[in-house]
Amino acid sequence: MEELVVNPQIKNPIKEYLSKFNLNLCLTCGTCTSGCPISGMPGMEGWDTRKTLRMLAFGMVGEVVESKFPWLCTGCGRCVHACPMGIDIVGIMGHMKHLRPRDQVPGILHKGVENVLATGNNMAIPQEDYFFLMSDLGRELAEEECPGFYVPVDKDNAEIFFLPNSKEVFSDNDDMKWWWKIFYAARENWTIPSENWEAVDWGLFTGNYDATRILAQRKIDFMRRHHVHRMVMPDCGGGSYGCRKGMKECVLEDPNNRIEHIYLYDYLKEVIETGRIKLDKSRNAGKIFTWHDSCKHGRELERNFGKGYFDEPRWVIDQCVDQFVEMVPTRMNNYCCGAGGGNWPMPYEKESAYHARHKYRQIKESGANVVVVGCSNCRDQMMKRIPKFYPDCDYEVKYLWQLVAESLVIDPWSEEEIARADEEAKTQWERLGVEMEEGE
Amino acid sequence: MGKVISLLSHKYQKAAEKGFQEWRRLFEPVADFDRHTRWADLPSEVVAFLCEENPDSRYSFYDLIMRSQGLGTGYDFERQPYQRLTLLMNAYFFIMDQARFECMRRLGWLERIPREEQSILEVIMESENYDYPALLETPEPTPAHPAYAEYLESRDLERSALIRRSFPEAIRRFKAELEGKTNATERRVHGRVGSESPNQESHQGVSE
Repeated sequence: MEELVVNPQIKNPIKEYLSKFNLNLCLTCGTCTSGCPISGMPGMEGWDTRKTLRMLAFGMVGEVVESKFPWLCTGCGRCVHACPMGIDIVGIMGHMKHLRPRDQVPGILHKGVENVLATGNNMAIPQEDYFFLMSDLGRELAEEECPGFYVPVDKDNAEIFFLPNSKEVFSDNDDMKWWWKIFYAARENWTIPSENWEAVDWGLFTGNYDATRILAQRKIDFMRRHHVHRMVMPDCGGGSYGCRKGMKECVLEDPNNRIEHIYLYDYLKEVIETGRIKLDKSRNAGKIFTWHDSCKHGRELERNFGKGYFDEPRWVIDQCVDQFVEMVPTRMNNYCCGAGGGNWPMPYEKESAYHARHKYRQIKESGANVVVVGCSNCRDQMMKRIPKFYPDCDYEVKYLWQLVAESLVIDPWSEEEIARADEEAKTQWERLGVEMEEGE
Repeated sequence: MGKVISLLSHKYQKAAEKGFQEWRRLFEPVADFDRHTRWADLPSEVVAFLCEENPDSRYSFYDLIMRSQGLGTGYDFERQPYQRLTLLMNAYFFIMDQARFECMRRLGWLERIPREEQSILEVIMESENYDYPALLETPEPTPAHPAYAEYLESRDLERSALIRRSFPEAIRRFKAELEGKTNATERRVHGRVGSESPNQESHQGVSE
């Protein structure tokens, strides 16, 4: 009897790639399938993780690539975490996406990748609109509650490099103000880029390795060009994870590509611990909070990079609220919300909602009034899709940084600080060709 | 009046004759197989051989499935058209799971295995046995299972994964115990301590 993965029909590059995963190690024990929330999904009978691995071992790469199954996989990594042989099933599923012809990538995902490569953001938002929004919304926040605030663009020698999410730039504009308030309260020296500013990485969602590497290289280049000290990894789980993977490739190509980065959890913890921001728990009194462990900030980060963020977000929440409950299971065993791997924007809404049944039940059973999240796709899924398919949901969803921003006690800036910032803003927007209205 | 025969019974009889051809060759004289053979009837040596994932055990299952259904031999398994192959793979997964669960049962880790009341041949011949959600079925552990405490604290998907991920440990222990018993038997025989024949002892297996 021949060993597996020797099927002569498999082209050599694919065979070589799959051999890295050593499918021969698979015991067909079914642990992956048992722990996978999409096993037994209506309409996908006959497909499961164990069978997919065995099909690949038989050389049935074409059947797997043509199937919807790898695209329904959110890459949550529960299978890999449980696999007694440690087979990187998430990597295999990602490669099946990679092998799909680009014109057959589901939904808008590939269009988003083309956009980001051509224009610097998934939605192809023109730079003029981006600048206008940043100047106008920044002025709005300054007028509302943060005098002297503006959004620094391409600032040299900044401490923090921060990337907006195109969803927020395109439509959910006010969602950007939470981070901005934190930076304001912490008197942070920060900047966003004038171009190539997209935080999320749809290259990761589509198995487009080149795109993931290019997007990471752009961030690295910005950091070096402007001598920025640290990059806050994008909030989007896939965005930060893709960025991390892309940066790894870039550093392997050239060790000079190594840059300093900090995860948002460490950043928030740092500004709280060092007393740079102050919080008032009483604003959140009377509500019970819970935390959703994003797969790509937790389990998958732990598995691939040796450090998942589990304790830090809980510590931050503890600084903001009095009542906290855990969902069950949690941390490394947590259930994906069902939106990972591009399943929020992909055209498989029912399937994604089916996946989410465990998350829905977890939230209900926790008794929490507020679910706190650290990923924009998780937030959309829990705030919009889960309530749409499970109408008896009665919880709020907040970003971790939203919770922090809403708990902030802002130490007012001095007249000098405000005047200096106003002058910097004026000079910046003039340099970028943005006309500010009179009386600003 | 001629003898009345059950067509189904006759079909299974024929399927068993063809299906177990390779198993008879492999396991003779330790065990024999017919249409009534259930997992509980098998000697531990046979269970130990079948519950491991390796080319030989894999071929044994493929061959049993293919021959009993009149589709060829184990070598033809992977060459079946896609639709049929996915069904055959389900049969393979289910019966392979049964072998591992049986190994756990003999260790005292499980009370029962899925479809244990049916013969191996019946399981293979009736495809509803290995359709979803039967394919995902995992029996409850006994307190002897190493993950029992964790099992009690976990729920739904976690529980099934906990049991299944301990297959490698179960197989390792099962084989070690089996080897220990065999060695003890050999020592007794060679030392003229006992009166059992090696075959009798090996037929007893581990907690059969």
